[in-house]
Amino acid sequence: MLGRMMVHGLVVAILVGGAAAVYAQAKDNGYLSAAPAKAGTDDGTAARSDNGYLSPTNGVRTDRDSGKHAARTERHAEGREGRGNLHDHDD
Amino acid sequence: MGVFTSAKIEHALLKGWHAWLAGSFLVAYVTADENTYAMHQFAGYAVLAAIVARLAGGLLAPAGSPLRLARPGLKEALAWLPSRKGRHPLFARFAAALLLAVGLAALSGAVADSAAWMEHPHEAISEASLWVILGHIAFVTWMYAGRKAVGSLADWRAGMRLSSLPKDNAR
Repeated sequence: MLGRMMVHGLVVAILVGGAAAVYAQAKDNGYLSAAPAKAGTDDGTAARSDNGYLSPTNGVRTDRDSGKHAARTERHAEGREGRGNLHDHDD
Repeated sequence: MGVFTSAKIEHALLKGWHAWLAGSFLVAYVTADENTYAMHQFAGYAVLAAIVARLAGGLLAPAGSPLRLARPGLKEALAWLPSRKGRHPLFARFAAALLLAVGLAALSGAVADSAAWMEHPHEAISEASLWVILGHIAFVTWMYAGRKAVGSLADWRAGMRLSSLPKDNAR
């Protein structure tokens, strides 16, 4: 019984994880955003080289290495401002 | 309330809900990182939905149903102690503690979505709720498997002791 309940939990974890990944991807692509960010409107676009790779200054957050709490707090604040999720890419 | 008619269905619902909560909490916990924030958010709301569904089910279920929320009291625990028969009162206490801890963790996470100051309390509550969950797992494992294993070990040791005795004494 114990083992079966653990297996059920893990199966649901896989399902929820999959659904969460789809949600995250959709949010990242702007499908779920009311006002998706326009590509090429940020300052980083100027620094973009057309070699297929994203440059480190390409409008991407540069504080990834800072503390987890600070970054998440900042992200919450961004959410409140109505900018929604971060768009780590220009497409 | 004739919604829940069969005890079998109720137990299946309870197991399904348990899997929903456990699975969602697991995903929410392992994705609690800035890079997987959207996944964490999704799983966190799944946890919150599970808690709300459980509370609603507990309120709607008829008396005597396993879906009904247990109300652990000192009186019941004291009545259980002399005979030690029936369900261990700690089951209900753990269930209540888990609902409270995981519910608070999910609710504080939802609040943190619009109020950044809630971020740190949310993390602290979530860490605390993990310990409640680990305690619950340890307790349930002990109740269902641990006691049996200790009993088997005691039997095995008694058998070994008997077999090591000289034959005359053993008779």
